This record gives sequence, structure tokens and C-alpha cells, in this order.
Amino acid sequence: MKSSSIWLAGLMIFVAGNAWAAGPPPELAVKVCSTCHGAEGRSIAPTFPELAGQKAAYLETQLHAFRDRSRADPHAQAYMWGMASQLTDDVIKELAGYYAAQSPAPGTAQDPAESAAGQKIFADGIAAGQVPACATCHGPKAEGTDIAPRLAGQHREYLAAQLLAFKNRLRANDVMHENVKNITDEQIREVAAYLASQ
Amino acid sequence: MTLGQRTGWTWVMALSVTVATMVMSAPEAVAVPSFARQTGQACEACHTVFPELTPYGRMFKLNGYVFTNVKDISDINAQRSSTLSLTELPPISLMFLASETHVNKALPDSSLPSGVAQNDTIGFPQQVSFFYAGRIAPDFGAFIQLTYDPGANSVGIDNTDLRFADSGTLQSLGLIYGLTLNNNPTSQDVWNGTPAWGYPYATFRAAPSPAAAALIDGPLAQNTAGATLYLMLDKTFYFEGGAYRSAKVGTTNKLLMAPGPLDSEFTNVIDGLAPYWRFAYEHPWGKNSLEIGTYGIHSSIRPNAGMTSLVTSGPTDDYTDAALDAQYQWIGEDNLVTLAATWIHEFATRHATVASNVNDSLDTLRATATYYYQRRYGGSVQLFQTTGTTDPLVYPAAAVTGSRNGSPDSRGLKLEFDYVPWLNTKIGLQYTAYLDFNGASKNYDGFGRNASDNNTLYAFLWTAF
Repeated sequence: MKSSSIWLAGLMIFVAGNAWAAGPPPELAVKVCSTCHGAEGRSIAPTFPELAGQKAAYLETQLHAFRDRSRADPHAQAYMWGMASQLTDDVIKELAGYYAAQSPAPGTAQDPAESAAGQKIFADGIAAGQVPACATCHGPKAEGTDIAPRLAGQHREYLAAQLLAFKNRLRANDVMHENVKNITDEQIREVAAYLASQ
Repeated sequence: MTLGQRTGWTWVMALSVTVATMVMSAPEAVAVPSFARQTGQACEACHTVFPELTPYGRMFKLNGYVFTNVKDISDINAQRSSTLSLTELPPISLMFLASETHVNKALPDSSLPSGVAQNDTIGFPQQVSFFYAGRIAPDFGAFIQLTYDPGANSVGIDNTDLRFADSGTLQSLGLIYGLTLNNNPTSQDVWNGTPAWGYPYATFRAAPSPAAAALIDGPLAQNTAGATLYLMLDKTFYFEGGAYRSAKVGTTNKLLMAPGPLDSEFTNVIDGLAPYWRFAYEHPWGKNSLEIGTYGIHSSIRPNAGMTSLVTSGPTDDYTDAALDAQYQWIGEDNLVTLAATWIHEFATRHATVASNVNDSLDTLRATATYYYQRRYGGSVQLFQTTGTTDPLVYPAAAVTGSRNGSPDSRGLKLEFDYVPWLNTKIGLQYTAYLDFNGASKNYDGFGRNASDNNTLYAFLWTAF
């Protein structure tokens, strides 16, 4: 009984998460968001993150953080503070649901040596630097979880910029500040290469 | 003709050419903070460093300047169709350009034949502009620039672009389409190799510039009105076509002593309509974008008043300007590189103007490389060259502004260093060096002036807020 309830709940979440597959995309996504984030949330320029397949809860949290200006890294200020300023809670939920339902972009080829080193950091962390394993929160395949975003297939430069922003405390997130406080530039490059390749 | 008569006539010619050049030269235009206020986005969203556009800036312009992220005053009808969407704060801005211009060899005084004008001209302001730039209605936006010109001590219309635009999809291909009404061929363009928004973005007006310019390269600016339809397909293929016609910019009709029909008081009157075309292909990948394209205009011109009695009727001078352009951008976090180039071929058949040849051609080539570090320190290098058919009647001798041998050939380079303390303020030092000026390197004007005498050092402070 308990088991079937879980399955039913899982099915409902799956259906809700993919509700957009059947309907037309939100007008805002087509006319505005796509300008930078690409059609269906697959962007070309690494300045702008891939949104396709991102976790809806994460997207909602970020849009709220742009709207209330609590996310204040440089590109958040330059691009998203304005973009999110007039979004209602319902529109945020609608956009998050739409992008979460899109197929994520496949990984891109990266330097194998860097990628291998990055995989080790992702899976095991860096003991000496007190960097925990990324997989703990982001999922074994970096597919994202209820508490942390999808990282697989994300633009390498975007990932590296975010890690640096967490390290330098330009982007608010107490957990990530602690997790990456000792990470080196080289290690950032490696783990970003691995995640971009997934 | 005695020497004295010749000299006097030459001075009149030189002065008239100088005045004409000043009237014709398009004042600088600029990125406008009113867009930032309307969108809530920083300048860097739309510009590498103003006024050059990023890929997002190009889309913002093609979408009609209507993206808005501020509260608006709105209305709908019973069919839920929007009938009003006015931003609570009007998207207005002010631009101020101050400069200092040093010419390598001081210019002759304009009224005292043996005198020398004071060098190191201060322009304070060189130019002040007022903008309404932003949304007017849901799919209707404008970039309207009014500029104070200290040379004429008056305010006049500058680059103006009204756009109706919409976007959608066609079988999963993104479409942006619209209509632009504007007063300067290529001012509606979104790439920075084309004339209206091409480098140099700010330059001197208090030093000589080469006499020859293709019609699409400035002379038609602000005294025409054009309507063109455009379509951007999948952010890749850009098509645009339309036509320009002469438009009044404050010329007074002599009989009425008030604004009247276009008549012989006017300069460069287009006879009928001048068709304009534009096609471009853009390919973005990663931090890169590459554009190649073509643009041009065919115009029949009623030339300047006083040059012929057949100003408003009879034969015309026909010009076909066909151009190629290309632009490459690499927009990184710290490093930004732009390469832009254009080549304009003008074929002129002069039936109205007295010329040595019925058919003349003029080729203009400009290639510019721009680099910025962290959008704060940077600069540009530009190579420019104009070559064409020798025609002593089209390019007559005159002190400073004329040509001894009737050749339009000029070539040289510009070198500019910029410091951008804030994204809306640029402090620049620009040096322009000429290898040839109006046909020669030495004694190009027949009055002993060399091309290098016109080398110009130009310092400027340019801000918009």
C-alpha cells in the first residue's frame, strides 16, 4: 500500500513536471527568454545557462532570487534583475515548469584529462581542500535533485563562473560558499569540464 | 582670372564646401540609458561597449525596442487585446560629448586669407543629444534623437527610427519581423560594419575630412525618410527591403519664409523613391558571432542648389551604392574582440551636375579591429581607404578641402584608446593619420597643404545618462 502510494506520487510528479510537453510554450519564453537562453532553453552563448531540463524548483528559486535581488552575481545584476522584476509568482511557476519539461542539451566534448580529474572531484570531493563530493547533492549523474540544480551538460564557462562567484561570495548561497572556499582555479576548470561533458 | 580673383573664389568655394560638409556630416549617435531604465538591464546586455551591439542588443532592436520590465499604464479592449502600454517613466536620456581637436598643421583662417585659425579646438559641447528611446506601445517602439549642434547653434533631428515589430515561430523556426520608419539609410541596421553605426563612433568635426563619400555613407543621413520591411529568420537570415524619399529638415521655402515643399534650397533631393536592400547571414557559436551581408541603395538625386538651374526638374544624377559588410565578435568575460569591415562601391552617372566624366565610380573600404579588457580599457584600429575615378569638376581644387588633381583618393588609419570608467561613460584619445588626402600625399589641395598636415589628435569625453 505504502509502496503503491509512492509510485502514484511519483507518477503525479512526473506528469506535472512534463505538463508542458503537450501545450504551447509560454509566450514570454518564446518572445523574450529565448533571445538569450535559446529556443526551448538550449542556449548558444556560454554567458547564458542552459535551462532545458533544469529542475523546476531550482528555476523558481532563482527567478525569485533575481526578482528580490538576493542573487547578485554580475550577470544576475546585468541581465536578470530587470528581466525578473515584474514576474508574478504564477508566471515564475509557469516558466519553471516549461523549462523543466524540455529535453536537456547533451554534453559537449571536453579535454579527457581535465574531465577525468573533474569526475574524481565530482564523485569524491577534495579531502585536503574540504570540498565535499558534488554528487552528494547534485545527484550521481549531476542530473539535479530536489535540493540542488542539474549541472550535467551545462556550459563549461557558465559553471566555472558560478563556482568562482560562490568562492568569491559574489553569488549568495551559504552552503556553496563553504563547499568551495578552498577550491583552486585548476580544480574549477576540471570539474566544470567534467560536468559540461555529461 | 587674376590671382586675387582666383584666391577669393577659392575661399568662397572652400567655405561653402566646409559648411556643406558640416551640414551633411551625421552627428554621433549613442547607446541610451533609457533602454536600461526600461529593461532594468545593464548596458552590457545590449552593448559590448557602447554603441556596438551584442547579439542580444541586436534582437532588442529588431523587436522594436519594446522589451520592458517596468510597470506600465495599460488598457485592453473587450477582446482582451492590448490598446495601451505606456511605461510609467518615459524612456528619455541625455548625451553629452565634449572634445578637444588638434590638427597637425593649423587651418587657414576662414575669412582672413593670410591668417591661421586657432588650433586645439574645444567642443564644449561638441554635441548634446536628447533621446526618447524605448517602448511606445506593445509592438511599437522608437529611437528618436534630437541633437544640439554648436556649429549651427541649433537643435535638429538626428537618427530616428520608429519600429513596429512582432515575433513568433514558423515550424519551430523563430521569426522576428517588422517595419521601420527611419531617416538615415543603415541607421536601422543592427550590425556595426554599416555606415550609420560604424566606427568611428565619435570623431572630430573641427578638422578636415576627405571630400568624397558615397551617398549611403553619410550624405543622405537625416534628410531622407525611408520605410523598410524586415524579417529575421531563426536569428540567422536577415532580409530587409524598402525605399527612401527626401524629407525636410527645416529648410525654409523662400516664398513662404516658412517650411514649404522641397525646392532648390535643398541638398541631395531624391527624385521619387530610392530603393534600399539589405541581406545578412549571422552565425553564432559559443562566445562568437559572425555576420556577412550586403546592403545598398539606388538613388536619383537632384543635386545642390546653385550648381545648376535644373534643381527640381530635368535630368538627375544617378547613384547605385552596392556594399558588402562583415562583422566578427568574440564576447568573453574579460576580453572582447570585434572585427568589422565594409566595402561600398558607388557607381555614379551624372546628368545634372557638370562633371568631367558622365560615369564615375567610388570605392570605400573600412576595416576596424576593436578590443576591450573587462569593458573598461580598450580601443580600436581602423584602416580606411577611398578610391575613385579622377574628376576635377566633381572634386575641384580648393584650399584645405579641395583636390589639386581631381582625385577622390584618400587613405589612412585611426588609432583610438578608450577608458570606460562606467558603462555609460567613455574617455577616448583618437589619432587619425592620412597617407593620402583628396588625391595626393604632398600638396594635395594645390595650396601647399600635405595629407599629413591634416593628421588629427582628438580627445573626448562621452557620456549618456
